[in-house]
Amino acid sequence: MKRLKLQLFLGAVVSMTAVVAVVEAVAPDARLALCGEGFAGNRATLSFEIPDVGRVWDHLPAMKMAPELAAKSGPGFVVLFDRYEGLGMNGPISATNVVCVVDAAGHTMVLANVARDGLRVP
Amino acid sequence: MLFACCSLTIYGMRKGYRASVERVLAATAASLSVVLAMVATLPPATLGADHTLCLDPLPVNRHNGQGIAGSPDGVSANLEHQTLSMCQPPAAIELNGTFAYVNIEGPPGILNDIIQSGMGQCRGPFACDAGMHAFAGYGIENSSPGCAGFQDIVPILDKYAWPSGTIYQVYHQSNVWKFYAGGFLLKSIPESAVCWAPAAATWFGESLDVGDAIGGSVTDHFFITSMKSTQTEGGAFAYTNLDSTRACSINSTGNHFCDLVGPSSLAIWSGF
Repeated sequence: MKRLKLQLFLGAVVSMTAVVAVVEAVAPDARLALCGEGFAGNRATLSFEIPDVGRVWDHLPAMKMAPELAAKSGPGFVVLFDRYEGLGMNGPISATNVVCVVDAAGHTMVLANVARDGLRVP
Repeated sequence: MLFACCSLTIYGMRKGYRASVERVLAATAASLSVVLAMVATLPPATLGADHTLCLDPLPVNRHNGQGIAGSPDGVSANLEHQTLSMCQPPAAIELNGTFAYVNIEGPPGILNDIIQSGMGQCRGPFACDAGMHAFAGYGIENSSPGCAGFQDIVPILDKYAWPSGTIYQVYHQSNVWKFYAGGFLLKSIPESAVCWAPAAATWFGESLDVGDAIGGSVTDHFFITSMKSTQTEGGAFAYTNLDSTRACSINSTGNHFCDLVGPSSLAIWSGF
């Protein structure tokens, strides 16, 4: 009887592990979705972690001014799109050379027409 | 319940076979419980009497509300604490939603020159999870006067918890731009982050799908009240003094309506 219970328990654990593993395998990084990955054919061309969102210019030195971003600190996530369909708060956005920066709190900033000269990926 | 039922059906089987079947059923039940737990974490669908079918996979934004020209350093209003109505059911890849905002806008015709604070819900990628949230954001067009050297910024949806309070403000104060929702400060950005010149204060509802309501329904209008603005940094807010000839200057065509219900109050709703 004890053996049967153990087998039942192990069966349940194996099954749960399998389900969770499948979910992890198919679930994309939630930060990609925050940036609009998958919407209207949006496909990230590159994404990478950075140690300090306020120093994103270390990785995109040709990007122009963005004072709010420069004032931030802490780790972040950068997503690059060549072509982008977005949802502006005031309406739909079509843009190219988009950089989406997600800070540690999950807040996003989307910058368009960003020059990528000198791009450095950590 | 399923397991209890099926356990009865294997009564009398040979011991080894029965144990095997029970193992399979236990594993199935465990898997099912995990899946059910995951489903339970999904946000509930927002069904209401005033919804209609979602029709557009891509956003078709429309606005109803009010704008007044000037050079505002602050805009304020009470946005009724009402769950806004989204269309149902969504398509497989659907972006739809409905919002209400207070805004400061830049030169006419430049879509991204805007600073916004508001509330709403949407479905799709971005910050859209079909639940009500507060939203704050702003944008910049590099081609706008004063914005040379600035990167284009898209005013993308950036969500925060939806507070129960109703006062929403964008306020230029003490060298920063502040975004308030429900009386809470959501975020502040450096004064220098906004390079364009404010040219209008606006209050509007917005929808992203032709099936989405803008504001409330026929039977439950959405109210924007205590509409105020200030023309100086850190200045006191003054009530608007709208008259019927200037009411609802932002008005989408179709089955969407806006009505002046006082010199500083609007009702907006959709006809379904």
